[in-house]
Amino acid sequence: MADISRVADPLAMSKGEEPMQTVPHWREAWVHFRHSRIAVLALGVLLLLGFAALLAPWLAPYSPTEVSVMDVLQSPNALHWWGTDDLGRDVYSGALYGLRISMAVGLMAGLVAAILGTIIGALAGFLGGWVDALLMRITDFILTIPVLFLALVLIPVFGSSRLIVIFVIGGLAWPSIARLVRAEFLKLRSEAFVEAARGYGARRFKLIFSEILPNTFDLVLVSTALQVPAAILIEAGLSFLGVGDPEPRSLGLMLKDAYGLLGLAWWSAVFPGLVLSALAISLNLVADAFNDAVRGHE
Amino acid sequence: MSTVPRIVGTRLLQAVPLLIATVVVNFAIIHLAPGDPVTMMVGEGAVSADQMEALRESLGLNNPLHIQFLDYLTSVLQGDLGTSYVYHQPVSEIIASRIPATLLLMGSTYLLSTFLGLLFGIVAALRPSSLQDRVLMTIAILGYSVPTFWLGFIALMIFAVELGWLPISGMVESGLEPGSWEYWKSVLHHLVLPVAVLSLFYTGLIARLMRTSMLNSLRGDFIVTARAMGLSNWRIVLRHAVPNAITPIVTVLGLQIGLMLSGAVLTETVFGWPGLGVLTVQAVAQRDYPLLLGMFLLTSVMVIIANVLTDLVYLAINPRLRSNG
Repeated sequence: MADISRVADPLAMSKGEEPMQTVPHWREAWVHFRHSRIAVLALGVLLLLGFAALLAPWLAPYSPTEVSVMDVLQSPNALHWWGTDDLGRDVYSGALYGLRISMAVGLMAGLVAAILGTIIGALAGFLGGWVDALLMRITDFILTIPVLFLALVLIPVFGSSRLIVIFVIGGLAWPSIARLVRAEFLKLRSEAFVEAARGYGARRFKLIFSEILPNTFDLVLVSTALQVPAAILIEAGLSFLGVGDPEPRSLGLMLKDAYGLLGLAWWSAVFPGLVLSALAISLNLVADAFNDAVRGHE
Repeated sequence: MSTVPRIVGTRLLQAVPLLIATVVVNFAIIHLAPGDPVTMMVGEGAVSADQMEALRESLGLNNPLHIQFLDYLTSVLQGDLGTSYVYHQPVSEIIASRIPATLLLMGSTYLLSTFLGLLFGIVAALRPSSLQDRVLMTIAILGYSVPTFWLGFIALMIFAVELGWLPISGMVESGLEPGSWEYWKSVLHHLVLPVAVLSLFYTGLIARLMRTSMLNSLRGDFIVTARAMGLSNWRIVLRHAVPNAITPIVTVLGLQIGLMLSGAVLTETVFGWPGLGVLTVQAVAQRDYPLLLGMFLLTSVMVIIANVLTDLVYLAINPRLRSNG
């Protein structure tokens, strides 16, 4: 699998930034969003998955880690809807809990990327000059780092904690967000309301925080949304390679175990993979549609 | 000086800080890594404390840090990346022996998915919001959303395990004479599934980019002019819109080629493809730091090569850059 975080925002990757369209209000964006039936469907699936993840302890019929020698390798049946694995663990319960991990990792990595991207983009766009030049060089450089590969090399050095996975993924996913924030700062810096505030003698930091930054919020949100599914897939990939955190068990780790059973228990591979795919697909479709709606592309 | 050597030269010069940074990070990782390198090399309790000390002295591990760094830098510059803890062979030789497999896998994938991706992107952009556009773009998003390793694994279960049409693992059947017709046929047979699965991902990515880029290009003034001149639709698309739209795709392909190892890791693992990706995973599992750091250096070199290649392709597709050199 390629570096997915490098894919999520195709526009931010092309050299030379797209000129930004005016940002419509959320209500207008929602109207635009609703036009795409597939995006609305994806949003429904995403909400369903979100609820399933939140309510996992109540929805799961078994403990996700409960080993049961009596129930080893059962195909899907009335007691075990999605069957059991070679240790007799219930696949359905495991997938529900795994979904929680995937979502949590994706959202936290997204948060890290959003914070870094906003700070770096704001500094570059507001200060300009050599700070801007330096920060943009670093941004370009980060884009050339293979995330999965770096995480793979760093994890044996720092130990395989999920927090490290989050920081490595989030710490490398910020460039597209930073570029958007920077472009918006460059645009807004000379707008009338900022000039007016400057005229009143507003301090630099007040300008950044109370005048310009709030206006970049929508862009940061949609651009971060594009990074979340990428982060989820990278975490799954790392777990599949056996370098993620083993506890609690994630979807990627379930797939790694299922891979060891190749051909013996199709259900242990198919169902967790479908959940993971449904999550990534619906996130990408929703993020994509919101991106179009907010940024006003085709 | 003509343009091509100048651009290559500039790029290579710009690459020097990147390489130095990688070497520094590499060096830092060696010293941050838990565990004593000598213990790693000989194994726990295998030799006496005196022998360990002697080995440490001979490896220069008792020297001050800056001397050790200079030693490391010199040996890297001489192409000596150290010796693998596990294979007891020079890291550079191990890596070199795995390069062809990864290049074959990723090269085939890039070729196939660039062709398909451009085609789908162009077709989708010709009629935005039409049925063909929506179907193609939904497939494209599916392509890069479904985890490739899972898809590969499902494909293995269906086509290799259940149906027995394609081999389960590896790059070639054992016992065939390298270079023979039978050998290459077997390689091709092994290549089908991994390339198909991986191409779905890259095709999705390229198709989406190409669509956006084509839409921008089709809005350009020169297209309006060409239409006004009465050029045929196909001529406008192929001779004017596509060449203009392709630049961002070259950028992204260049980036992806630089990121090739990340792309290869999961697929090689699923399909047991004996390339650099599998090697990395093994090195991680066995804590084989010299090998890992060699791979790390290799990725930087690949980023640099990809950068140079990207610039050369820019020159080839955009003659304007050549003339003002």
